[in-house]
Amino acid sequence: MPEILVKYEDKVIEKFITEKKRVSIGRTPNNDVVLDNRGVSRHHATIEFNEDQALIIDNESLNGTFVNSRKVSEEILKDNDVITIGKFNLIYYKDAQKDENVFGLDGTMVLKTKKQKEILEKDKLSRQLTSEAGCSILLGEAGAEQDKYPLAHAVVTIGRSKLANIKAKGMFLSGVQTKIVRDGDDYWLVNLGRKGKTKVNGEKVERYMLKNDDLIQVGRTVFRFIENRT
Amino acid sequence: MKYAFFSDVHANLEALKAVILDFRTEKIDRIFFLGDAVGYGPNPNECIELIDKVSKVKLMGNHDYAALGLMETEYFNQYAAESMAWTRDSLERNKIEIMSDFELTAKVGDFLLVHSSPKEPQMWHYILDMNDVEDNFKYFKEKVCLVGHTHRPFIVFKSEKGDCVISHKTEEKIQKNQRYLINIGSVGQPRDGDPRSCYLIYDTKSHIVRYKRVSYNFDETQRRMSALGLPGYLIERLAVGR
Repeated sequence: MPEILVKYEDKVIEKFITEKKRVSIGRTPNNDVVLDNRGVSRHHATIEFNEDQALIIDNESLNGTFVNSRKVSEEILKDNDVITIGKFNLIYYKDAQKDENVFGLDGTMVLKTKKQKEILEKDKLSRQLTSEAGCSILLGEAGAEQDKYPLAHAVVTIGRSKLANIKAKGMFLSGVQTKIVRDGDDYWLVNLGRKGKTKVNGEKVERYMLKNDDLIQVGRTVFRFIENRT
Repeated sequence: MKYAFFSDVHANLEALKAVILDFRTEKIDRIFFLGDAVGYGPNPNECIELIDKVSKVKLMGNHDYAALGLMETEYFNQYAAESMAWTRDSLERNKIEIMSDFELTAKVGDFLLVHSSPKEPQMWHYILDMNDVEDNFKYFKEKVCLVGHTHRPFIVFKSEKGDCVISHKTEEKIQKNQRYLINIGSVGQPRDGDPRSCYLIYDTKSHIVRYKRVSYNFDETQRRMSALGLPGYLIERLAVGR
């Protein structure tokens, strides 16, 4: 059974597990998931479940619906996707989580338009960069030699040696530490070299399906994954 | 000091063990591996582990590269692709880790080591004839370049005048006024008509490079390949060295 974990500023305020085929999200009380905030439209978005898939639809809301920091009008959700609506983050789990603590909501929410503006600008810039590259890209952050790296090939490697497409630095880093493999629309990050040297959003990974805005760390070098959407 | 250079083991454990025993007999001081630990043969994991034990300098071959999933096998022939699919499924995680540290090229004194060719090493070009040889002399500055990849040993030297001459001897003294491109042959799947494993020894005192051929029990390798259902053509070629 799918679950939607509703967070407000990293605080879990609701855990929504449903068997319904259609879940409405909005500000007014007649929604299934009520996000009581002025930044949220009355009937902001809908999630439709059919068989194995969940589709989020933005109901032409004023402030928009974001999936993994990317503005969407319709989007098929993947497990662990983060839906941002106003200051709320809704995490979609394909199967309900078992042991989450759900905390109450203290009810004093004010939409900071600055955050809304930031997320929109970030999304616009990401779209511009991927559209220029014609493919998904890595943005070089701490320690990277370049600002951006197009992921134009079926396999792109990151590591210390001449063999690696993208150079990374760090103690005991393998020559080809990490590969990014394209599989249809998905990008898989695979740690080939020494264990623990590839991290996504701070967690060590061996094999991981990348999501937009994921922070990849190979040794001491940091990249941000920006997914191309056409 | 005596150096040994070996290449193209291709998961042939019997051949590798025989060659490593021979390193001891020859009292080799330093051992260099020029790539293709895996592909074709039945013992990829054991070979990677042994190579890692004996050799500090290890190069990446195209089969190793493919085994790591870094290139597709569409350029491989049918038999190579078939055995590569099996190899990928068989590789243990810690062996992948060892291979992820294989280098593209290495330098030892005035020797350049590369698996395929000094011209674009990562493109895995084959040096098959004298035109390829002459072309490749332009792509290294060192006195000697050692390659593997084609499984066919050769020594070509370039004289001061610029002529490329192929040597038909099994050993050559490295001359001061000449440069060399040498294919060191293959341990695990020789293709020069001699089924014995082949590697190269260099004596830093006498400046002599010398091929060494080592017999091994290819029946055992063939038996293991058959048991695993690896392609018959790859099994049969070991006995004839073709």
